[in-house]
Amino acid sequence: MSFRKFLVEFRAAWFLAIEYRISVFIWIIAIVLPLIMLAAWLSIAQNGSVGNFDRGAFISYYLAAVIVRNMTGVWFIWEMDRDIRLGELSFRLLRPMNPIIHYMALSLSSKPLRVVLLVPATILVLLYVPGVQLTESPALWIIFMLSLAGSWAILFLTQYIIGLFGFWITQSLSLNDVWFGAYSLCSGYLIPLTLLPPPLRQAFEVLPFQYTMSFPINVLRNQLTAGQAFGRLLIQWVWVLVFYSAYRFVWLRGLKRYSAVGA
Amino acid sequence: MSSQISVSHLSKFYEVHQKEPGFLGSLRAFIRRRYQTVRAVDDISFEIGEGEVVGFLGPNGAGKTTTLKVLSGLLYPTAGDVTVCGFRSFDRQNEFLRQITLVMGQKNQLIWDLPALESFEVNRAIYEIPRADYQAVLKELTDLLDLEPVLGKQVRKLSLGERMKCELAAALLHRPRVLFLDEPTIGLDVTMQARVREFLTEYNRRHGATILLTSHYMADVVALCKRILVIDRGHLVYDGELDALVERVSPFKYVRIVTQRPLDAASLARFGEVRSVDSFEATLIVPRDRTSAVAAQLFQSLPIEDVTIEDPDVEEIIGRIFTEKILSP
Repeated sequence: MSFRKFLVEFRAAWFLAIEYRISVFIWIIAIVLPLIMLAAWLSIAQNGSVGNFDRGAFISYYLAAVIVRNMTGVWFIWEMDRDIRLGELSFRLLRPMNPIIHYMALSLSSKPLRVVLLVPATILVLLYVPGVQLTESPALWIIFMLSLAGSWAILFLTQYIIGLFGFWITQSLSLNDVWFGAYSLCSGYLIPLTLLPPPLRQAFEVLPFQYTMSFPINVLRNQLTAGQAFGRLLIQWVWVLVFYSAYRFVWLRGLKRYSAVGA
Repeated sequence: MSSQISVSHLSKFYEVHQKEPGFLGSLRAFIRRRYQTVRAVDDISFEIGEGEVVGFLGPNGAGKTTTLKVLSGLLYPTAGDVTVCGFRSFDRQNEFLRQITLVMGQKNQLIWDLPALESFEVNRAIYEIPRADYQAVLKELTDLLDLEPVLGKQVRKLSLGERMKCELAAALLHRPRVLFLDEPTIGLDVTMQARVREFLTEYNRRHGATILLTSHYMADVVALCKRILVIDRGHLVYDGELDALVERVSPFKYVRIVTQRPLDAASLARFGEVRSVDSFEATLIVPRDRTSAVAAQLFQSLPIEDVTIEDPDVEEIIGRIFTEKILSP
């Protein structure tokens, strides 16, 4: 039953995305950070390579980063913050549906538009830019798709948890900025993790961030065997479970708080 | 008549931090916040039967909205018990949520950039309303509220009145048995207010829904509610019929006379307290039980052209209750 509720919420959110289609396209194009990083690396790697990255590897890496960012990025916390501050969350609490379903639908609604834009763009790059390589293994493509879902789930749950902090503090948005900073650095979004100094790399290895970016990129770039990729996928989904439990914990306490201090 | 809403010794206190004015004040508040307990609702009890329409009156900040929020399950009480439709509100079980609705005239729950029909569709799925029921209810609400021309328009393009009608429809699609309405007519023009009132009366008549409403417009309360609850600074100060309250607070009527010769206050004083005199017209304040006797006397002693006997304005009476603290807890 929850899935049917999700579908109807998704439908409404999709209509909204269509309503705002121009803005959605602008947001898609606005993901330029990886391209800026790419330009910087290309100028550094003009006469050869950096680490095991040559020109083609850098372009493949940041192409994959743009794809992963578009497919797994979440930007609903502003909506959530507004709902909590203006008390509109109250209406969501009075409906027989967990509000998280609404925000899930909202967060996924622009994804189809992104696919429509990304698929032809990727094909063009593959055809016309020399040296760009993505995996051709069907097994890795399947794992890549699943890893996108896992990455989205981690990013969605963490942003939702930060949004729920809005029950206690009014600055959940700035907390989100701090989180985004950590994510940009530790996930491999800005700099390939293998190019970082070893101690830093080992530290980031134990954090969840790399499973949201570096891992799917490496699968897509054919850097892992199917067996290795599958192992990492399992770890990624363990992180999803961890954040899901954290969400339940914060949610139940947040509700108590919300109901105590005035909805 | 079985009890649909049961409130027993309900209290709701808030801790609010005090914001001191000025820069230094905010700095102090940053380091050490001072808290103050606000007794929004303080030990109130009442029962509301199925199908009753009850008005909830009180000045701003009296605790009306807080009570409605506790009843609908948004806030949990500091003390006391609240049962609605046999459920403890605060548990917010789905079966409970499907039987109630909360409409707040100052808030919007429709999707702003889409037509109202899309919000209705979302509610249909969330409340799991079978398609056939949904069509029937939608048709009924469309007819009653005259929604046909506005359903396909984006909510942001609707006028306030049109939007309010859509809000009501969205809130009633799942045919709730209990309606909590907080200022449902606020900001609407007089015609639209009347339209919403007619709708609520009709809805109550057809479906026997229980309605608890707050309003700043006495006309809403007079038109809809036989019974009222009066709350003041968290305390329930009156629970009973509106008419009985009017009689209790103002046990008099206005007798307005028009005569053929000019009047003066002194000669009228023997009939009752003189409220106003303006040459050929005067208004007297007369105890309720003596109005007909006084009218008869007036006819005998003065060249009367016209006599009208009026109840004092309810708005004025309620205003007096709060300003003069007539009903004290």
